[in-house]
Amino acid sequence: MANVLVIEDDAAVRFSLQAALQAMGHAVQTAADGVDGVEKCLAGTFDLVITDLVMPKKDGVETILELKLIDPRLKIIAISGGGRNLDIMETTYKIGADCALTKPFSINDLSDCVTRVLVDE
Amino acid sequence: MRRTLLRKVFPSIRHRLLTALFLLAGFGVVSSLWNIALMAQFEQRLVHLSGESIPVLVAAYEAARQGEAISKGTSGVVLTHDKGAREAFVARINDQFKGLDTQLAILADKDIEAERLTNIQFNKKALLESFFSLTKAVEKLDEAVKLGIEAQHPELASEVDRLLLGHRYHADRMTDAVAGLANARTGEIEQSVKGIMKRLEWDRRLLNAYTLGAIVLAIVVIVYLDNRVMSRVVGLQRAMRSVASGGTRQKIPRGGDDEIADMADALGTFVEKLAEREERLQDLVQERSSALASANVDLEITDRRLRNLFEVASDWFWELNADFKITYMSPQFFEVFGNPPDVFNHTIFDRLMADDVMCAADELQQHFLNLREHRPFGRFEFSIRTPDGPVRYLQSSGIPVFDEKGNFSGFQGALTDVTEEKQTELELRHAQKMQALGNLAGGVAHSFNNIFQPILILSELSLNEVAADSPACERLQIAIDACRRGKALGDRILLYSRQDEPERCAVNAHSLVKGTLDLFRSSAPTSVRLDEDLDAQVGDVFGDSAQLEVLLLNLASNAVDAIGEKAGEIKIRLSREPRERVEYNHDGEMVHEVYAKISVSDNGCGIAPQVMERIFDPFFTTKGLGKGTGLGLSMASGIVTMHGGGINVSSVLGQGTTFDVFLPIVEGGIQAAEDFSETKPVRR
Repeated sequence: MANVLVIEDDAAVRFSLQAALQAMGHAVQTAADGVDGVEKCLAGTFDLVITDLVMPKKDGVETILELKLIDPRLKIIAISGGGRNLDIMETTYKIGADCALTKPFSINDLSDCVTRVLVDE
Repeated sequence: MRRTLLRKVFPSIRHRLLTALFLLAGFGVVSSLWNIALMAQFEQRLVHLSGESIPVLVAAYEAARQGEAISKGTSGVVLTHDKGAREAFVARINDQFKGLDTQLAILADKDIEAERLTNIQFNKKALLESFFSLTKAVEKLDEAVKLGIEAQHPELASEVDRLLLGHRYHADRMTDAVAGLANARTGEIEQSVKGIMKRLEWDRRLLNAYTLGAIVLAIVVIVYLDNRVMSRVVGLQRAMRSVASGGTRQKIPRGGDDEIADMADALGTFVEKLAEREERLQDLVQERSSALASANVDLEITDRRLRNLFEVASDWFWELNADFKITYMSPQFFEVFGNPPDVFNHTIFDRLMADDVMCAADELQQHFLNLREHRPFGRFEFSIRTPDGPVRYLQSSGIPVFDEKGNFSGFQGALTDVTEEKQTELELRHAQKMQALGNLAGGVAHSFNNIFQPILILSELSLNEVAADSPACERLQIAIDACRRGKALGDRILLYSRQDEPERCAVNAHSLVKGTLDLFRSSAPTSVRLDEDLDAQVGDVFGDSAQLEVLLLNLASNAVDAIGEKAGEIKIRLSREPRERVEYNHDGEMVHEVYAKISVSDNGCGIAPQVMERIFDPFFTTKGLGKGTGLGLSMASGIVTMHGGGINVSSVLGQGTTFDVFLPIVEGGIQAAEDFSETKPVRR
């Protein structure tokens, strides 16, 4: 049971991730972009942030960097639609993401990743 | 001193010669006059002689003869007894006396030898008397004879005898006197003639001496002429001939102050000046020659440099003459296009209209116009098919050439082989297309992934929530599978669009083909029979197994599409081929010894020849809308090329198509594999 913030601009993806995480038993809040996500993170307390990389206003890399400044121990899972951003996935690890997933991933993939990241704590 | 005097008096040869000739002529005249004078003198003497002495001699002779005749005639008077005859004798003797008288008168008239003449007259007188006495005595005797009394008068006969003797005596005396006169006169004549002869002899000697002098003078003149004139003239002539035939070192015989000396001086000066001029000319020639030689050397260096530059230049140079015939072409041109013997026999127009030349019609028309109107042109582009088959793209630039009179004499220009540039341009365009495609594919894949994500997760969630026996369960499962296939397609598109260097490792060719076939078999329609013939001992290829799998799946699915709805067969072959049996279009040397050959053959519709050229182009497809991406073969070709291999297509329309893929086989472990991974493949 963890507090999870999902930052994702695509509403359908946001909804599906929220549903899946809730089904796993986590408390989930969502944000539609990086700016919103950073604000929500400052306002609340989260164990884990799942953030998309390609987003309007503030992209995922920037968001991760800011979140890590706010709370260096915050767990972060980066998700991406792949494509041109495959290389960025590599970068996310370097800037502090704990796990990266390429869309479309299954519930199992998500579950494994979340479990792994949270257990490390 | 004498010479100067001579020169003063006779300053020129002409003077000397004229003087010599006048002298000789004077000698001749004097000699002739002398001769005439002598002759006249002799004639006068002879005339005097003949006028004085000869009549005397003649008269003397006549007188002697008369005397003798008188003497002889007297005998006749004495001897004859006939009176008439005697009287005739006497008459004749009297005539002879008269003749004698005449002669004596002549002699007397000459008034010479008066003493002798007196003596002769005396003797004649005595002779006349004796004859008279004798005549009388004979008359008496004859009377006596007639009377026959002579015997009685012997004194008569003796008287006659005595008188006859006396008569003879007187006759002889007279004859002697006459002879003495004649002799005296003869001696005188002889003396005179001797004197004349003596004078004559003296004169002859004088004349001889004179003639000798003339001859000597003539010889002197001749020798002078020969020595002082002719030999110098000949020397001068020789010198002039030598000069005329170009000799300037000839020594000119000089000296003296006559005309020849003047001539020699003039010639000498001329020759000196000529020699000077020749020397100057030679210097000038030498100077010019060395300048020319140096210029020649420079020219040769320039020529060699130009030729070298021409031959190493990447551009090829050409020349046209005024008739637009090709007169020069860089040798490199023939290295590429072979050596067609007719290149130099055709006009540029014929050459560009030949079958192996390709050019845009309007550009060709413009180019011909430029040529005909002698206008410079640049970057006229055309292509020529080489005898080996490949097409070379060329750009031609040229300028018209005019001679010094401004007449058009042809064109000169350069050809640039822009095949590489064309190729690069094509490749660049391809790369740009690929990049655009990559961007597009990346974006599309990203969007699709975002679309698939909620479908997948929500389907999974729903699946967890429905009963296992619910029909929704299967439907949700299909939706989940569809999402996975969609993801796979997205990955494939990304893979194609990236075309990065594959992640290489040794891949067993047999396992690769076998695995791919198993994967393919599950999705292949049942109407297609798969026939496989795989050599398990082919070995390893060095490459990215995922990419190679995609490659084979592409080929196989193309084969299925070619067969279509009807029943058909796909043959898959895997074999090991040595380099010699590898057939695909490639640049340069094949670096690998052995290749794995994977053949995918179908008995489908085949590929039309006009389509064949484009099958590897990206986005080219013959399949209907939604059935093909147009990327399959392009991707296959890209993958094969990146693996250092090649692909070859053979197809007969209506009978089927075979794709042969050649991939180099790695032998000798990882090092060898890494070695050849450094050899960059060449994309064609």
